Amino acid sequence: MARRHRPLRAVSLVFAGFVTLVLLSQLSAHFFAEAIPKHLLVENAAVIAGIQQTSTELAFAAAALGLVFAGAVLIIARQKVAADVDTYRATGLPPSSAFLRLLRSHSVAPLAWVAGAAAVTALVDIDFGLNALFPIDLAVSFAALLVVWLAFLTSLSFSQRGFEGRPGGRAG
Amino acid sequence: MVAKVQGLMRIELASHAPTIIVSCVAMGFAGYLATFFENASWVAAEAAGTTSPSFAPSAILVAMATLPSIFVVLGVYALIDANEEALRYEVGVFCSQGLDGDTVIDVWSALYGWLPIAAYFLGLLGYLAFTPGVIANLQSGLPDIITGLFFITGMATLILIPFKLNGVLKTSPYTVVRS
Repeated sequence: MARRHRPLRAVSLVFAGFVTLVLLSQLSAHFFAEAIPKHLLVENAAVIAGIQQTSTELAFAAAALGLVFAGAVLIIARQKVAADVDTYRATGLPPSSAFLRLLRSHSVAPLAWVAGAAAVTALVDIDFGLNALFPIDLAVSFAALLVVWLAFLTSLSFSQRGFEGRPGGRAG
Repeated sequence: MVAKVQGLMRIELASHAPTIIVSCVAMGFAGYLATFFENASWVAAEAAGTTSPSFAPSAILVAMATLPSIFVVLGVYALIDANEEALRYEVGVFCSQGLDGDTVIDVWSALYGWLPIAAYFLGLLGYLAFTPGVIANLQSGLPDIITGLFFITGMATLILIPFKLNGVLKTSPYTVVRS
């Protein structure tokens, strides 16, 4: 049986994993505060503030690391996607059509994963009274990274000389 | 043979350096995060006087400590998955030079498995070293915490990563032709 062509499956895993990691960092401060009985909250205010600050810093660090990790996976997966762009170019498609086809075939699964993870994370954040905008912002950053990267690969391929097909060709 | 393996290790370390560095940084971060969760759990339990209402959130924090490394191991798996074509090509080249496929897997497992695990351990120790008072907080529980986290991360890494690498070896054209 032939293997399905899923060049960016790895990106989906990274996107969803790091959005969840940010949620974990956010939740740690919540569960820490929950663990301390109400009557002891005042005398432990400094400790709680310290843990909350570290938790926020770690959530930001997880987000930054996620972007670096996703960038690394995208760079590694470059050749697989570039081959598709070259095929579209060879058939004579204009850059805009090639880019749209690329988006349709390569970005749907990763964007669905990151949207799913962000939706679940935002719901959990809202339920626990945490900052839901943070994971949503990270998900938007992941999506923007992916789309910009695909646009970059398309423009890079079309800026090269040779291997052009005739205009009006068909692909996909 | 030993010289060949050492050469292979050097070549792979140099050619996969960016991927290995990203994996190690992420695993180090996971270790740091895990110790932070453990410490938060112990501090919370101590502040609450280990009364019953504090148990569930503290236990959740302890359980959460194991999750960062699991997510990062999945990320390393994703990196290998994205690199699959190149690895398949490499295993063909190395096998044609007389190296056993299993030796190549052992070298890759060291680079993508043992090195990230070592980075995780450094991350664990990094939080202990750079955050004052943590060792005093955790006290007698510290060996159990480190052993537990290390065991769970090691198991996840050394099962998932060699499994993926063996999949790459089995589907390599060289292996298929030879079989």
